[in-house]
Amino acid sequence: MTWAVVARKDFQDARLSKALWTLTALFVLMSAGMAYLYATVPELSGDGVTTTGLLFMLGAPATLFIAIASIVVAVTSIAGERDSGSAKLLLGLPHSRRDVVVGKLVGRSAVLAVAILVGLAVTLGVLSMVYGSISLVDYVAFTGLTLLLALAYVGIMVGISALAGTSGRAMAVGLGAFVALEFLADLVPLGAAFVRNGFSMQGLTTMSPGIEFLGVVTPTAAYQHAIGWFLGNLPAAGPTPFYLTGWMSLLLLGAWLVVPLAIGYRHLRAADL
Amino acid sequence: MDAIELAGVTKQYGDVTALDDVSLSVEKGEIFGFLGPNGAGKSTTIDILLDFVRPTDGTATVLGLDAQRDSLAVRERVGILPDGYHLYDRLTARQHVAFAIDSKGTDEDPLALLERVGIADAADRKAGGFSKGMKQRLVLAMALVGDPEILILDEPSTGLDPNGAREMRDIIRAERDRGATVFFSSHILEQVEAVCDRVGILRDGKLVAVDTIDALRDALGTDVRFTVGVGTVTDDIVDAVSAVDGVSSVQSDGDDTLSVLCLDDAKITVLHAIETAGGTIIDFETDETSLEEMFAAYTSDPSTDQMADGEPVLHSGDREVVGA
Repeated sequence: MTWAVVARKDFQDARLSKALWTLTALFVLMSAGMAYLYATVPELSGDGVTTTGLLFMLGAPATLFIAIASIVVAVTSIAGERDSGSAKLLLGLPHSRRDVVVGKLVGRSAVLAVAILVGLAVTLGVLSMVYGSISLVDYVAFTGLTLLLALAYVGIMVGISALAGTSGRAMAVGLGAFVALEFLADLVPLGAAFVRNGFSMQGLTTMSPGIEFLGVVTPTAAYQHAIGWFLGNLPAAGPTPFYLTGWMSLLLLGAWLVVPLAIGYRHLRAADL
Repeated sequence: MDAIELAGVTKQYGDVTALDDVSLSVEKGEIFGFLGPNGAGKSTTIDILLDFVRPTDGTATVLGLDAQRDSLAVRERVGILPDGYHLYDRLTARQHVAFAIDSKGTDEDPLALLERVGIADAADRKAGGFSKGMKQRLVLAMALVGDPEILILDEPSTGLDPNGAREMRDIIRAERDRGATVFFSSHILEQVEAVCDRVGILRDGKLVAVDTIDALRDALGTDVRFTVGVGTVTDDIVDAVSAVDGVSSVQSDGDDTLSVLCLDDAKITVLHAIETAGGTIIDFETDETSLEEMFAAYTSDPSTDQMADGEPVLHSGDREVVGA
């Protein structure tokens, strides 16, 4: 098992990516800026500033940053090495292809985690200046969930990278996955409700639990649902089925991490470089 | 147990046959040159040894280990300088070598290895700015990590100046003397001639010959070019030499030298004929078949085609003949 060696090499390499640090700077600006505005502009916080409201607010720039940064950091991680020929150095050394996939996941996730921690630490600093009474426990939990989302997204991108033979194709598939998961997926529950309602929008006010579930499947939706479940005070109208709990969201994030990686690895294992 | 053994290895990419039933043994402790023009299948062979690609048919064995099934164990004991590699532009030379050291789990000093390949002064520079020759040296340093039992070098002298190529040869010999087996591919013949114990010649995915360079030269060379200083060239001398059995052409080279193309064993008769015709032998010189010519004959000449495909022409003794 030499994945740790691969991960360390990758961390050394990817942390020097200028694109990543440009993105991180943008994330810090957005995140800290939004926190500042939320805490100081009453119209934004509506019925009072709360930690939960704040964290929901911060979730938006975080998810966008993670989705884009994971593409920058990870989508060419394996395909790019195959493209350029550095894979011949990497796999000429005694690393199994599984070590390569796991090492890439860990190394690139670590780079993204550093960026996220920097961003959220700066944001916390801003918050403590303009808004004193934030719950540190909630903020740490929020950070943990955000890191989990990052891990899942890097897993998706590394999996795509293992699957695609060239970095061009990996980039195209990665961008496609980004659009599908961040934008198109929102249409699925709406479409399903539309179909169930007899191809009509009339009288469509409440969603059935099944359709509600469709709305929290993607990594970002699962992440936001988990924030609401664990940190918010979602009004519980009767018993919630398990598949709509925050625990299910964690499971889903785990699945987003594992399944694309496994598919990518199976393909890479059998591939000619 | 041989260092490297290929048995009927075939690799097809769709309709294209990159390797066609290649069988080959490389003995432990030898320097084996793998010759062939670009596209002949040299890199594909090496890719199979390292499990970068999988053969369509046949098996490859390295140090008794199956190159596909036991690839990890193979790569623990092999050092590789691949063809068409790319370095990690943002990492320094030292980080590259340290990565190889960590990967192989040894505790060598990266700087000592960089010293050995002559780029210690660039240890802390990023590899992205290296010249091709420096990159080549760096990858060689990575290949030397862990004193591998086999060194597989794909076109090692690419990008090296003559001095660098000589240093590369010195390192190759030193590694052989340490007990390592060296398998290297090249299309540059001087490299191979200078350092190899045996060579294999690959053409269009087929192994057409395996032998020592001398033996291949002997087997191939029918005519030799033979230059004789005769004082004064006369028509009589030219006529007399032309009449000798086995002489295929005679040219005067200036007015005091004859250039004769003849069978090797006709040389004495030629000298005799010159003296009989009134010439004086001042000196004479035989040009060996150049490796370049030999290479061309094996890799393109249709008559060699026949030779390699039909009845063995490279026969006798300990020579190994590989026909299709």
